Amino acid sequence: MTEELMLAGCLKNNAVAQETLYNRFSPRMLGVCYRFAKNREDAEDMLQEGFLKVFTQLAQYRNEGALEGWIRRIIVHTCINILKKNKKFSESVDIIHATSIHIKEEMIPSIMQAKQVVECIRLLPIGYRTVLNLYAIEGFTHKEIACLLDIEESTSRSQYTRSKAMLEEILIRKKILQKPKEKIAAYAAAGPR
Amino acid sequence: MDNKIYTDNFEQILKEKSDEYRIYPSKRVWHSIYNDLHPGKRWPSVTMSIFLVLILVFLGYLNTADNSFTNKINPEVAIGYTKNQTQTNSQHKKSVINNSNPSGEPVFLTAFSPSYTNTQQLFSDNANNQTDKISETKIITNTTVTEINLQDQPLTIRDKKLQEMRKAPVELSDLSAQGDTYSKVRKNEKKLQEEKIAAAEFNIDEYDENTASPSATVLKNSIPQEMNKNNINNNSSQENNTKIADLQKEKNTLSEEEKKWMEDFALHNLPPSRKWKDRLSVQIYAVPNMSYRTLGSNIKSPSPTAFANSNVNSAVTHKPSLGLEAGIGLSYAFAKKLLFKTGLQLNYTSYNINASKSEHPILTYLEFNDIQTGNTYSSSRVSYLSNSNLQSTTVHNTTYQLSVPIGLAVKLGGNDKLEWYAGTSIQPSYIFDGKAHLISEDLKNYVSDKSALRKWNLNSSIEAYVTYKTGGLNLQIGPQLRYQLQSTYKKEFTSKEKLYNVGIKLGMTKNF
Repeated sequence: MTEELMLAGCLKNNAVAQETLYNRFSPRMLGVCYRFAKNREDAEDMLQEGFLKVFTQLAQYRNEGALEGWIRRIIVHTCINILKKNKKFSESVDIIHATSIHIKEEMIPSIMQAKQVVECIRLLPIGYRTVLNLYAIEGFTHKEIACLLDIEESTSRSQYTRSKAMLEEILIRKKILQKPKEKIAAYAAAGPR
Repeated sequence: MDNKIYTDNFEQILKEKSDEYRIYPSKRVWHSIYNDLHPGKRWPSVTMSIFLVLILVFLGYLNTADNSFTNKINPEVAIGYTKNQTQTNSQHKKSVINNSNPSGEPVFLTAFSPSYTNTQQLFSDNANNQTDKISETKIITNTTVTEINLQDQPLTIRDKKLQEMRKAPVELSDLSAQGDTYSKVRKNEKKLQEEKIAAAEFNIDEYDENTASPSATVLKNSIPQEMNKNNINNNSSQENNTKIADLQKEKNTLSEEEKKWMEDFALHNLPPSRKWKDRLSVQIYAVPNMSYRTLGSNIKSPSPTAFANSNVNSAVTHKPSLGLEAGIGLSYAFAKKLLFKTGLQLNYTSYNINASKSEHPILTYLEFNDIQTGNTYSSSRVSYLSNSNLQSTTVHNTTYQLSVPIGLAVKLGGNDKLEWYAGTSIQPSYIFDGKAHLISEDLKNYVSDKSALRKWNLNSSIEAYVTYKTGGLNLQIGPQLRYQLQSTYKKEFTSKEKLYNVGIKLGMTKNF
């Protein structure tokens, strides 16, 4: 079924077209939700609510940009709304204490690379994780993030910096990432102490 | 393989890897979305669930259907059981053992003729004397069926018969019986042997003393004529010997009780005594109800008070309230359609009184009967409740009772699953707690006096209910009216109040 037919069917509330659209985009969208959610069940709840909004607001889609991008934006907003509604941000760690978090190496699963990265992202505290997801992966600006999360733009920037550093450390510890070459060269040049 | 990523383009890497990641959601998610988008066409899981539940219920009903013809089979005597078959000849190797029995239950007749390997058909009249139809047929494991009529015979001949019968192997007919029952018979050869011995003590008209084993038996006069029409097939087959051998191996499995039953039955054609089985049942029940009262006067002698001269019901504002009855009962079916019922129950009764609360105490009077002299007298009381609607408050007159209902129930009709009953009972009750707000003699105030309540009272109840059999339980529902026969208050009080409750009785009964 082409995208045009699918959209036309969805606008007519055709169940087959709706299911086709859902099946086409739900795996990737669930991956998006999984990065925001605490667990898979929460992620599926976010996905369900997100797709309901997609189907009910499909008439507002103007063919400006890819359909996937439009759906993804709705899904991300839904995830943020749910996190805010459930007050999940209260679980986030204050910036001051962020550096004291200790990530146990055994918490990092030894699986395929994409999933490894996602699982490492999920290890971050929820505040860090959300800002990282929105900025680094979803492409929101710090201004947009600040508006979305009701925080200051500077807070968004600092949270992102710290989350990136923390995630880097996790990935390096797990040997999924290597330190940049220039850093390695610099260490080598410094010699043993 | 080097799996490591350089961190030069950290964010690029993050985005790429995250976009690669896919998770396939569970079916639940789509079903929920579908149900929300199409509320008129709920996912068929609900319909399917209901359909599956109905199928399970139907299958359960089929599997628990009362196959009564299998209940009556004595595995030692009968192989199979068929109903309403037309008369067949003995080639079908089916035999009917039934005698006209006042109780209507089938009567087992034992068959002993070691030389016979086929069953003999007997036809029984049912209560309506239908002679052309087999109302009950039973396949006899051991060849012929003999009607047991005691006739005197010389002891010596009888002894000989007994000896020979003991020696003779039990042969089974090649029966077209149901496999399960047949296997039961095979396992109880000892019972058959006992039957043989018992039957040998009765009259056997034709008995060839010169042969190693008895040859034939004939039906006795007490057997209806139709029974005599059957031909006795003398069909000895080799395979019966193996069956006999199997039976012989199991001959010691009969218990004393089984032996006794068989002997009794064989000798006297008597059905086994059932004692009180299936007659006793225990029930737990609850009766949510509306409680109310009838008010009257209990003045023994004429009094010039307003209470005596006016209708107290029109002067007070009372309303019914919720009550509850709960208990455990025992019932015994002493007749086919009559049950004796008793038990123990708790009753809570309550009704509401609209009154007005006063912040200052009110001096009022209650009227009493002098039991000894029969005169009435007034006694002063302090009250904070007035019988007016100026400042409405609601107080409750309550009783907590422990009752022992004793009564009867009669079955009005029904079928295997549903039965209708009507019942009545008398309930001596002990009132162990409660509240009493008595109207003053001028009908203007209420006096709270718990001591006015009787300790003992008598209640009666009538009820009608329907029971539904499911599994091993009977569920019961039906209306009930409970009425108090004596006044709630002691004789000294001039107020007379009788409580009544109307409710729905819900019960669950288990038969023993």
